[in-house]
Amino acid sequence: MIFIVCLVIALCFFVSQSEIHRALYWWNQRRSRQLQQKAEGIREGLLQELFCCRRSLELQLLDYPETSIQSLQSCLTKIEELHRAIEQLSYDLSPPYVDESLPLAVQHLLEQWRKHNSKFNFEIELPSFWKDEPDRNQVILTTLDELLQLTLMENRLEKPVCVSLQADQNIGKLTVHITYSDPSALMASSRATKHFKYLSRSFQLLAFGQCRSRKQGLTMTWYFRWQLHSMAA
Amino acid sequence: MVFPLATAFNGGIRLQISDLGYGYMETRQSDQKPQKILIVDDHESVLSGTVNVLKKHYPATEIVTAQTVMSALQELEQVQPDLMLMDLSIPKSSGDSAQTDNGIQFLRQLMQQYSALNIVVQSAYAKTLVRLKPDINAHEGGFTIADKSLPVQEMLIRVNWALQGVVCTPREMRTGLELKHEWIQVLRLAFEEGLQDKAIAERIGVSERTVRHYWTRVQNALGVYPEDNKNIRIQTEIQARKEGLID
Repeated sequence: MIFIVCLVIALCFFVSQSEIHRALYWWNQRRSRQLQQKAEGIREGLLQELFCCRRSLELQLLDYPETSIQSLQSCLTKIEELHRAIEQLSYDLSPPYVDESLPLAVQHLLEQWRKHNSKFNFEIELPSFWKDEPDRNQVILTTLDELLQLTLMENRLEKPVCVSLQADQNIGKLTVHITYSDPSALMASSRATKHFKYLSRSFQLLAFGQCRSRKQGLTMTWYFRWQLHSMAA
Repeated sequence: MVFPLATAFNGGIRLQISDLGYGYMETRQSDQKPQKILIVDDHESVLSGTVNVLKKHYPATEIVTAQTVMSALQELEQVQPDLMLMDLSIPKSSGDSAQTDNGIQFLRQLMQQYSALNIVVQSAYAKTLVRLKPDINAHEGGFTIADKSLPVQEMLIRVNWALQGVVCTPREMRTGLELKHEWIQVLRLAFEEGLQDKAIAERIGVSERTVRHYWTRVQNALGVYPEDNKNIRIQTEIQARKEGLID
């Protein structure tokens, strides 16, 4: 009798955990789609309007080159800056290539990192062909971005950060090697242990994958693994 | 950043361009004179802005516009343009909403049906074109991308390149040097054995036109594009050597 009760409780617990898992996955998917729609709205609305303003000013510059070139050019420069800022906002809402190609999405993310944090260098190894799963791509990309935020922001590094993406049979592998400049830098990054635990757990839940890390000297290596083409419906 | 200046000369426009990543260059844009251009965009104001720019630059050219996939197909059939400049986010037919998927499917169909058509994609988000990479590589006409963030002069350069049969896609659409075996073969036969296109065509058993097609693809992969006063083949050789593709 006790055995049956325990079995029922275990079963209920398992079902409840599985429901939570599905609910989280659903929530994440919905959120990503909403953000993607907002990004598309920006590209189809604001960016088109800015494009029209710019062309109209440029035509004036061609038509009347002698009149107030200085102020027109300054307006055009401002429009260009505004265009880039809005474009960046659309990338933040929905990363480029996330629906089309995980390698290109990773490449773009690291390019953005390089652009905004000139002190970091990356060595990137990416395949040119990848069978894509857009929903999981988003999770993998967010995980990589978060990992870099947690480990790099306040640190000095000895070598470039090595990021490699591979497909080995049916297993997707993302590996990140970070070599710190001195033990204190390594210690500083280890202070975020709780965050790493949550990051790893989120990856497990949302990408149905596994995450582990290894410390060797001043190098910290992060391994992310997942079964390709196995997303829950 | 130096903002581009435009001055009239010889009835055309001389453009001075501070090109991102390529340094200062001066380009004459009146080399190619298309007879007919089709512009496809569902935004009324974008359409009129683009028409005005092209009219000013190509005064003798007939410019036709379309706002949906259906009307663009009709115009293509009737007008047979030298070049089509299109947005990716367009509606299928009037009353439908504009969607990038429509533009992608339309382009795919177009590249099969009109394999020699010169195409410029002018879009605020051209990154989705990565879905068409194999189609773009196989397309025989010119194919360039003019992001809507580009100044008018750079847009005109992309138009001129497309008219010359050049292929220009952003490097960020590739994870590295993506080269086909036959493209490398063309490089080696030209720069290691000194063969001309005709001899290369005979050696690898394709037409001379196909060899020219391979050149445009390999130049795009290497990031080599036409510049005034520069020989594009020599630029290609320099870049291919830098990348270690030829001895």
